[in-house]
Formats: sequence, C-alpha cells, structure tokens
Amino acid sequence: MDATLILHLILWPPLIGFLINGLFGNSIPKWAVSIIACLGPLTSFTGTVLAYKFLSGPAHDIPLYTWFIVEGSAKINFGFYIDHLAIIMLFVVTGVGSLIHAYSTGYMHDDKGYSRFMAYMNLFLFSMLLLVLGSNLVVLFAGWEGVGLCSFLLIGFWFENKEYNKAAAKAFIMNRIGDLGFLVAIFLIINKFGGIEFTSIHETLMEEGQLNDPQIALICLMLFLGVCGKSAQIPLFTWLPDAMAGPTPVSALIHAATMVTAGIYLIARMYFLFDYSPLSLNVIAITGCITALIAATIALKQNDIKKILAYSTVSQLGYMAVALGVGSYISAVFHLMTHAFFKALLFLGAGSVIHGLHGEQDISKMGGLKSKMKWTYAVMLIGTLAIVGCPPFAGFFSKDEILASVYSKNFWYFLVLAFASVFTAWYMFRLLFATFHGQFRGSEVKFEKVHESSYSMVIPLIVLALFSMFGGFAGLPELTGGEHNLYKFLVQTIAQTRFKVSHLFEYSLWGITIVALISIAYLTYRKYATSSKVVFESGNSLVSKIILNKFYLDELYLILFVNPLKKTGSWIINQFEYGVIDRLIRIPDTLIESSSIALKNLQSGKLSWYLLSTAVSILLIVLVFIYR
Amino acid sequence: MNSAGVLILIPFIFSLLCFVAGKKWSSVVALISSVGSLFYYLLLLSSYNVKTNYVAFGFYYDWIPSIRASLSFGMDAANLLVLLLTQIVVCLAVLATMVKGNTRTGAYYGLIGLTHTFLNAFFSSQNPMTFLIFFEATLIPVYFLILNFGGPKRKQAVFKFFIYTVFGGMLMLAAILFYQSNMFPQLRLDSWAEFYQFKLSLKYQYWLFTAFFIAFAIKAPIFPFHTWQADLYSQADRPTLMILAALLSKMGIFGFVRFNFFFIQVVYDWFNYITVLCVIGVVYGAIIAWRQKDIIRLIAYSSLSHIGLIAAGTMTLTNIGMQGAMFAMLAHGLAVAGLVFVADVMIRRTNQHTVDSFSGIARNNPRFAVYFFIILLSAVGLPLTCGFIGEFYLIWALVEFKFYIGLVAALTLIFGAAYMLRWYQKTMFGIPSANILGFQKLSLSEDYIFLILVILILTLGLFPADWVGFGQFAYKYMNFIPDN
Amino acid sequence: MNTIPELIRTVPLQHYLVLSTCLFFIGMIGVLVRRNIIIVFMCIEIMLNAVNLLMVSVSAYRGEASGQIMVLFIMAVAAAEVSVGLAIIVMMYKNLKTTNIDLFNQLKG
Repeated sequence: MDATLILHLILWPPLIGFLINGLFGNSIPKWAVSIIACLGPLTSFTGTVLAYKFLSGPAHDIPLYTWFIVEGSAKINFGFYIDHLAIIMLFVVTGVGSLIHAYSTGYMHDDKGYSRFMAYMNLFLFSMLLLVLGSNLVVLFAGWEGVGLCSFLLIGFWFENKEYNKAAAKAFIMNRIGDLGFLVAIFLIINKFGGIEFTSIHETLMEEGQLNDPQIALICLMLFLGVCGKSAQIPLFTWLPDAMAGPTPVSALIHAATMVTAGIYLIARMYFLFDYSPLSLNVIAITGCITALIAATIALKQNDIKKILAYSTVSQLGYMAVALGVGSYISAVFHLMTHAFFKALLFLGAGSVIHGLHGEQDISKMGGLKSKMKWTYAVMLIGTLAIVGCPPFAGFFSKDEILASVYSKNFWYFLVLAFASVFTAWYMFRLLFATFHGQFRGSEVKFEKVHESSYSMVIPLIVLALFSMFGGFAGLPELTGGEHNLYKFLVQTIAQTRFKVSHLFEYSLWGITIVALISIAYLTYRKYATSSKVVFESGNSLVSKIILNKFYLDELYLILFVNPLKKTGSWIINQFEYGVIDRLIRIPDTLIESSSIALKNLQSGKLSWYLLSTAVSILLIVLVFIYR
Repeated sequence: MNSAGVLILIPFIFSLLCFVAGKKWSSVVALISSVGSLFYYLLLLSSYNVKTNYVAFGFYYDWIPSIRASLSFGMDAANLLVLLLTQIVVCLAVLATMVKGNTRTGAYYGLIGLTHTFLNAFFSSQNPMTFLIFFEATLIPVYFLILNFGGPKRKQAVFKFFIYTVFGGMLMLAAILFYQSNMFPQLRLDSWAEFYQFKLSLKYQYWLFTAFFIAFAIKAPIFPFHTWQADLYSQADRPTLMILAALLSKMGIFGFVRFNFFFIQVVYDWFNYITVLCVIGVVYGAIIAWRQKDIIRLIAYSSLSHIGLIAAGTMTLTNIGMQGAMFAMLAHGLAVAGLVFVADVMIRRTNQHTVDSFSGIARNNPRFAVYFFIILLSAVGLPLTCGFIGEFYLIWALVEFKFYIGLVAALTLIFGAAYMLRWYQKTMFGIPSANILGFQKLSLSEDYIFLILVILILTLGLFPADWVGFGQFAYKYMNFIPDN
Repeated sequence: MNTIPELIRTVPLQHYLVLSTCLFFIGMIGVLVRRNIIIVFMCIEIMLNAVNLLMVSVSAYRGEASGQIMVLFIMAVAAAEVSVGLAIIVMMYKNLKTTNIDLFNQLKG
C-alpha cells in the first residue's frame, strides 16, 4: 500500500472529527457527536495497523509541501515520516486514544459541553499525531505546541471555575518555558547541521559529528529543557499535578498516556544526537533520578486519588528519563508503552470511582468499594499490579528492563530507582486498599448511591486491563528464553546495542522484587484495609508537612519568579513608566519649556528695566569692540 | 492603468467624496473606496513578477526640478506585504465602524481615507524624499482623527504624540536634506537603488543613522521612546486604533527595513546597543501588559513588545531577519487589528474598559470566544498561525547573530502567553458577571471581520512560503546580490 | 566758507566732545534713574541733543556739511517722535493717572 495514502488515513480523521464537532456540535444529536468523535481515532488506529502490516523498509518520508524556506539555510517541509518508532507511538496514541474516546462518551455524556469536549479531544489527537509523525523538528514542534494548547483547553474545560483556569494557564506557561528551549535548540540545529529533517541531521552527524562537541551538548540541553516542560521533569513538573483539574479522561489521555510522554519520544527520536553528548545524557539521567524519587515521595502522602496518580506519572516519567540517560532508549520506549496502558487504566479506573461516588476524589473518604464496583476493582487491581512491577504484568518487564539497564551503567542511579520503586509499591497499594478495602468512610447515604459505571466506560477498562496484563510480553527478557520483539522491531530505527547484565543479577532482582512487593502489600493491607480506623497523613510532623506540600516547590517558584515579576510590573506601571522613562524622554521638551519660562521672566514689562538693559548692553558691546 | 499612483488616487478621491457625502452615505463611500483599493491592489499583485521586474507599476513626478526633488511611487518586494496589510486593515477598520448607532460623520471617513492615501503613498514610496514627505503627512489626518473623535483626554495624548513624532520627523528631514545637499550634482535621489549605491563617509553615517533611528524608534515605537503610545491608544476611537496599531506602528519598522542597508557598517557596530533596547522593550512591554488593567493599554504594551522583536530582527541585516521582519509586520498587523477589534466588541457593548470588569463571556458567545482565541494564538505565536512564522524567523535570526540576545528575545514566548492568557481567561472564562448580562451576539459585520482575520491568520500560517519568499528578493535587491 | 571754521576752531574740539559726552551721560543717568516719565522723556531729548551737538561740531571742524544736514533730519524726526511720545504719555496718564514709569508694565510678554 502507498505510504502517503496510509499517512492521510492516519493523520486527518481526528481533524475532520474536530471540525465537524467543533463547528456543528451544538446542532447535531449527541449520539452523532459520539460516533463522529470516536470514528476519528478508530480510523487512525486502522491506518496504524495498515502501516504496521503493509509498510516495508526502514522508513517512509512523505513531504506534503514546502512550509517555508530560507535560501542558503534550510527548507522546512510540512512533511511526515513513518518509521518503526513512529508506528509504536502511533499504536499507543491511537489505541489508547480510541479507548479513552469511547470511555469519554460515557463519562462526559451528561456534561453540557459534551460536543466541545469531544472536539477538543479530537484536536488533541490530531496534534499528537502531528507530533509523532512530523518528519522534521518544526512539524514536531507544531504538534508539540498543539498538544500543549489542547492540554490548556482541556484542563480548563470547566472554565467557570477560576482554580481550574489557573491550573490551565500554569500548565501552558510552564510548558512554554520548555518550548523556549526547544525552539532555541531548533535554531541551533539549523545553524549546525544546515537542515531540520531528522534524516538530514542524522546524515550530517554521521559525517561530521564529534563526541563531546560543546555545541551539540548545548543543543541537547536545550532540547532537554523542552522535555522537562512537556514530560514534567524537575524543575518544571509542578504543573502536572495541578493539571488534574481537567476531566478524568483528559488526565488519562493527555497527562498520563500520550502528551507527557512526548518528551521521551523526542529524545528517542533524536537519540543519535544525544549519543554524541554524554554530558547531557548524564544530566538527563540525574534529573530523571531526582524526579522519580521526589515525585514518588510526594505521592506517599497525598490523599487525592488523581493527585497520587499524577505524581506517580511524574515518577514513572523520571524512570523513562533515566533509561534514556543511560542510553537505553528502547527500554524507555518500552516503558512508555506499558506505562500508557496501565496508567491510562488506573486513571480511567479512578475516573470510574469518582463517577460512581459522584465527584468524590479524596481516598480518606472512600473505602470498601470492592463490593459495589466489581469491575472497577478488578481492573484497578490489575493496573496496580502492573505499575508496581509484579510479574508477569506489563510493568514488570519494562521496569525490570530499565532497572537492569541502569544497573549495567551506573549503580547509584539504580539505587535511587530501586528506592523509588519501593515508594511506588507503597503508595499504589495504599491507594488500592484505602479505596476498595476496609469500610466506607463517607456517609451511609452516599454509600447507597455508589454504582458501577456504564458499559461504555467498563469495556475500555477491560481492554486496557488486558493490555496491562499481556503488554509486557512484547519484550521478554533474555533470561526467560523468549524473544524481545519490541527490541527487534525498534532497533531498525534506534541503532542501540543491548545492555548486558549477569544472570545472577537478574535472578536476584526478580527475587527481591517479589519479596519486597509481598511484604509491602502486607504492610499496607494491615495499615489501610484491616484496621477499623485508618489514619491519613495530615501533615503534623515537619517531614510529612514538607512532603504534603510538595517540598514547597510551588511556593518557591512564586517567591523566586512570579512575585518579583508581579511587583516589578506594578512598580513599572505605577512609578517607573511615567516617573522615569517618560521624564527621561521628555528632557529636550522640559529643557525648552524651562528656558522659555526663564526668558519670559526677563520680559518684566518695566520700562526702567528695559532701559537699563539696553544701556548696559550697548556699553558691553562698546567695551567688546574697544578691548577686542 | 497598472500604476501605484492609482492605488494612491483611489482612496484620495473617495476621501474627498466622503467629506461631502454626509453622515448617511459617507461610510458606504469609505467602504467602497477601501474595498476598491484592496481589489485594485490584488490586481496589481496578480500581475507582479518579482523576478523580471523588481520595482513595478512605477509612478514618477518631477516635483521641484531645481532642487531635484521628485516624487516616486512603485511596488517592490519590500513593500508588497505592508501594502497588502494596509488595504486589508483599512477595509476592516471601515467595516468596524459600521455598527448599529454609528454616529461618525463624513469628516471621519474622509480623514480615514486620507490616512489610507498617505499610508499607501508612504509604503509605496520609491525614494527618500517621498518617503519623508508621507512619513510626516500621515500625521495630519491621524492628528485630526484623534483630536475630533477621541476619548476625553485626547488633547493631551494627541499633543504628546504629535510632539514626539514631529521631533523625530525633523531629525529625519535634516538627515535627508544633508544627503540631498551632499549628493546634489552627481546623483538624483530618484530611487532606492541609487540611494543604496551612494555611500557617505562613515563619520557622517553615524550621525545620520542616529537621526533616522530616533525618527523610526519614536514612530515604531521602541523602548524608551514609547510613552506616547499607551496614552494615544487609550484615547483613540477604536476603528482608528486598528489603523493606528496595525499600520502606523509599521511605518517605523518599514523605515528600518528601507534604511538599515544604507548604514550597514553603523548598524553592525551598534547592533548590541540597539538590539538591547529592542529586547528590553520586548520584556518591558510584556511585563507591563501582564499587570495592566486597561484593555487598550494592554494591547499597546503587547504591541511594544512585539515591535521590539521585529525591530531587532531588522537589525541583524541577515536574509532571515529581513524576511522575518517583513512577514512579522503582516502577521502582527493582522493580530493586533484583531485584538483591537476584540477590545472594541467588548467595550462597545458594556462600556467597561478594564480586564477585571468582564467575566464569562464565552458561555453565551462561544463564537466570539473562538475568534478571539485564534487571534490570540497568532499573537502568542503558536505554530500553524501566521504569528508563529514571523516569530520563528525573528528569533532564529537573533539566535544566529547573537545567542544571548536571541535567548532573551525568546522570552516573549513565555510572557506573551502569560499576558494574553490572563486577558483571555479573565474576560472569557469564569462565571458571567453582571456587566456582561446584555452582551449581545456578534452582528453580521462583526462576524465578517473576525472571519476574514481568522482565515487570513490560518492561511498565512499554513502556506507562508511564497509570502515569506518576497523578503528574500528584497534582501538581495538591497544588497545588490544578483538573482541566479 | 573756509573762514567760518577758523572762527570755530578758536574753541578746541575737545571742549565740544567733553560737553556732548557730559550732556549724554546726564541724559542717560536721568533716563535710568528718574521715575517720572516726562523727565525720562526730557532726558532722552538731552541725549539726542548731545549727539546732535557732537555731529555739528565734528562736521564743522572737518569743513563738511553732511553732519549738519543729518542733524537737521534728526531734529525733524525727534520733533515727530516727541509729538507721538507725548501723545502716548498723555493717553497713559489718562488711563493710569500716574507718570511713574515703574507702573507702566503693560509691555510684559
């Protein structure tokens, strides 16, 4: 099949869905909106399957038209690129995207902005496809900004709430800080490599690239700044937990499965560049370590079900960053994929809980929901087991691979990640047990009203649960004797050698994992499920207070950046602008005015004064002539 | 019939008609005039071939032969985009006045027509003398427009504006007279090409560039010559303000585009100082816009911020910078005209001027909210809108030339998003406040204005290649690089 | 014609010069010091006449008529000036009921 045709089939359906629902959403019935909205991602998914089946060869470059051009510098195509990495991403985006669209038709059905919501979701998917498929950094950047925009629109979807709007603006602006880095990196790349297409950068780099070239390091660090913004790494991660203000499907699709992984995708896409800069790889790994650990720590103490999952997402993204940082790109993409499955599952499950509880998000007011929401409980259990890395669920394989590959490069990174893993297990089991086990901690009346969600919501959950259970088999570790199919597939794009660890280490890692998981599960079960009075952190001690308040990072940014800027702004408006600048500029003006006033006083109108001045002037003139 | 002179003549004749047409018909006459010149311009554009004939549709008039001062007009790659912008924005501005309860008199439309005439003449000028004359002439109708149809504090504002610009204009007059006297016997200043060929000694160039710089910096405006701007904008009638913000501010930038290549050495020597001023303006304007309560002042300072970036781009004297500046003029003109019209729609309906007095407009006016959002996206430079292309080129040129200056200029990405989103969220989102209860749906003419703007913004964002490409021909022409 | 200068030369030129200078300074000091506008006016006339005297004497010493003719012009102009000036003074007196020069400050810019 023709690659261009497949591209059109993948790329445009969501945009068409957006246009139809966006323009006529209010005048067509809801079922039609649902069908149109779901048809877009489904068609894209079909296209992806076709691409997987029928496209042979390493890559397909499809320039549609010349977007803009600068003679002597670079030609920027509005072009697209399908290779193995893109296909994997496409599966994640369109697959998970389709499921979440289906879920949304149930979740958002009674909202008065239903058609608007579905239109935004379609637009998001289109931007994400633009990001994944772009054949050069500028098209990728267009998608990158597009997803940021949709994220803004969807976080602030309930726009009558001021807090939500603040969260939306915060997300957009923090993302833009990263985008600045990205954009500057693009310019540096054009200057350095004379081109912007991935293929041409790669070729030039193969010919002229030097290891540890400071320019390349700068480019990589700038790109990584963009990644920090989009993939919520330290220091720019604080927007992601706030972004949970959006409807839950948004959190699942944008802030867990797809958009936030765009940064990981970018680095995997540009891996050849990062390979030339060990320095920036180290920076990425260290940032990832810190992010993974800090986010996991914060998640330990949160009570909002979505916030816990949000911090967990940040932490998992940290994992992926570390994997990238040690040069194990394929492991990162593997984890990206499995994470998309189980984190989307967890979010949608959480959404189902919130839906069933009519908007309650605080786990300290839940408990014992197991009996009322059987399906939700089952899928949440699967999701939890997957994320904590319990064999043989999806998370086990990808996490194990990351840990092993990190261990093969740097022991300290490994140690940090292992700690973070323990924390992950703790807060996830805590979430599970506090929500579904024990006794309901809300009012009786409320418990009566708890109900299982509709089929349109449960079916996507089940499909995602299946993926979370079996998704990991795409990449079996060497030890099991199975094939790492994902590696074999992706290595055609990402030329990366496989890391080596000893079998002894693998065995012991598995053993320790299982023992640790069982003991943590036991401890949390005792703490949150069996005891009649469950204690939730209220931030009494200093440490828990600091953790509960997210290490006061938001406040720190407020003090360091936002407030000084606000003050400067007010000061400029009230004092500086008219007090200093205006006066400075009007110096010639004021000079003329004041001298005019002085000369005016000379004309007193007194005759004697005129006469005297006349006489004195004449005298002076005479004297000048005499003594010249 | 294909002549730049006709393009100037059409609005001129119609503006005279407006003066005598009376209240009822003058707006229609003005609309016919502006639409007519738009179509005439498109006719010119369709038969313009930059490769075979760089300066086309020339119109030449030997004004005062004894001092060899001549008037010369024509279309070339450098002024093509601003001329397009002029025709479009004037059309939209006239359309913007045609609302219910319009009390504007024939004189108003006549003055708009005169402004249009002088702007066309200014942008299509083909020698320094013409450039200077219409640089100053544009002031006259604008002065009367604001003096007669402005807000309550218009007198002080317009006086300040007048003093500022006349001061700059005088400096420029002195500089051009200096040329005229220095090159008198050998050369006639009949075209830009002759002007570029003539090189004075460097000693004079420094002084002359200073004069030109101050003139353009006041007109644009560039920090710190901007304090007239917010005062004037907040007092101007808003359809006038569309012309003022979208076109008058471009005159300064256009001056840089025209004259910078004459002072290559000076611009190169002073690049750091000038771009630092521009970049300070970028950040300074953005910070003020961020904390600003008055909507029109917010637009004024956002404009200061964008114009600073464009001016810095022209200073790089590179192909990219020039292309970016020329395209960004068009992009910013469309965006700022749109923003002013958004402000007009808001203020006209409620008589409220501050950001805080609106809330929740989006709930009952989703169409308006969407239009506003797309215009805003262009203003903050999101990809696939035309604002992005301009910003992309400009920051690229700056980063290439001086990395740190480019980096600071790129802060506009963050600040721009901050102040624009603040405006948008405060007015459009939230729970509808009492002020906007009677906020009516968009009327047909308003709808058209927005639709035209949005279509232009998106089309130019998606298919900018040819438009941007004109900048390259201009660059080559100014640098005497032969076409290959 | 030549005999007349001989007669005049019996008094040396210096005397004329000193006299006219004295007269001029008397007039000038009067203009600057006195407050009554009529006296100021008189003093101006004295200054004028001091110049006239100077011109006449020098002209006579040099045996040339041009200076004396000039003096005749000056006298004519002075007469016209006096009539206009006095008329102004009269009008001002009618308006202000004073001849004090310090109170005449209507010329202020």
